[in-house]
Amino acid sequence: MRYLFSFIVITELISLFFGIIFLIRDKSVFWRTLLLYLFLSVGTEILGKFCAKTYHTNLLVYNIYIFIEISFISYGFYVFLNEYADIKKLIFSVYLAILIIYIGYFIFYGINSYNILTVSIISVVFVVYALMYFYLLLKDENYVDLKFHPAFWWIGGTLIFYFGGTLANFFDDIIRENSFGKYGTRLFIYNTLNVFLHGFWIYAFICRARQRKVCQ
Amino acid sequence: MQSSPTESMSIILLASLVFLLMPIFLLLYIRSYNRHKKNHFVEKENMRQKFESEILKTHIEVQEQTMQTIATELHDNIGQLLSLTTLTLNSINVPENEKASEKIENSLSLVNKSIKEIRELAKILHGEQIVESGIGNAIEQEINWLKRVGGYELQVSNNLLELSVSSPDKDLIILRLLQEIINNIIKHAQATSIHIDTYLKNETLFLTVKENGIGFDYEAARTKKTGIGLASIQKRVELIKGKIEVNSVVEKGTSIFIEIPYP
Repeated sequence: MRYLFSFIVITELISLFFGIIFLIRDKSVFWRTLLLYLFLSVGTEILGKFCAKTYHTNLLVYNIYIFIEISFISYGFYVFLNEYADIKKLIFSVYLAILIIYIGYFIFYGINSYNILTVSIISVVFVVYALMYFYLLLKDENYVDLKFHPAFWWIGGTLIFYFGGTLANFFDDIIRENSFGKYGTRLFIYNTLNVFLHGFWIYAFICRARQRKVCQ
Repeated sequence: MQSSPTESMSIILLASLVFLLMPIFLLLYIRSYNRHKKNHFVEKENMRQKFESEILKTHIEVQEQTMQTIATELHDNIGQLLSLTTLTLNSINVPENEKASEKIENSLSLVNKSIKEIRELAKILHGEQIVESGIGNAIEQEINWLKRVGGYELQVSNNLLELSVSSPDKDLIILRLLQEIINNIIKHAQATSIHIDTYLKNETLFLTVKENGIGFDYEAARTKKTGIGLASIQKRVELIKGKIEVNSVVEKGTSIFIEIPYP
């Protein structure tokens, strides 16, 4: 059983734990869906470990998870960007285009091949969304205290995760073949990125809970 | 010359580290830019408040000047004219005509009453002169006028009569505040009882006015900005850095609590 609880799983479990504490009473659809997303992330990681041990492949699990990731992160950016600009059509079009690539990849390479093309593309797309958000945030005339602004920290964490992971995605083939000391290089990079992502997200949960308390 | 896998890995890891640090620096830059934005925002807000305050001050000054002109006109011209009329009427000798005498008597009485009323009105309008004798006395005069108007059961506790400190600018605004509140009560409240309490404590002047009138929805009046008198009271209180609290219950009455740093 111990093999199921890897570093990533523990990081995500901590994030889920804080999410439940700070967001369970939240009425916003986005923040509530985030809890579900975290739950699915933990579930995917555990299932992935189990499948790897039992069936010697877990690519199907991670390939399905990519769809959940694309959908939820796009939704998150839609929620936050929508506060500053009308980007419903843009985000929806990009989302559809990504889905076409996602499905197209499986048609060509099969479901048991890790969909690295889609992962690389979504990394770039989410980085662009994050930069767009920061541009609009700075351009906006109204001042917001970023120290306690949940959207800023959520997007900040997401930007670090996807921007930091860009190289790992592009050089996926080389990285897979080599390892760094005892640990796989890819795993090492993603463990680090996950710590940043969930660290930022946990702080976003705290800011959100504070925001909710102030508004009440 | 080909690089070894370990070297490639090191390069990728190093590049990943750079890619990790870049967004962190970007976030730090955004926070720093936002801090500048905050300063700019605060500065803009201060300027706006200052501008509004200046406008209000000018508005009050103009209003005060207008009132003084009216007061002077009432006192010096109309008052004099009426006085002259009284003298003229007095000088008429009509002993043979009792009816005419009676009519002239009545007219005289009316004219005298008018002179008295005009003098009282001139006094009220000429705020600066009233507050010269101190805010306590000015409030007392206002209360005396209210007593003469009649129709209200008055409970007054004016503890500002023996004040050793004064602030002429604030005094005039405080007097106008009280006048505005009393005018609002007379015009709209349909009250039968008015309670006025004034005192100075810890360099703060407290003014409380309570009445048992019809009351109103304070929040609605504030958001819809229907209460011009109320808005004017609030602006005046803000101008002298005071605080105001209005508690109103429909059919129960209204209480207004004002705190002003004084002198």
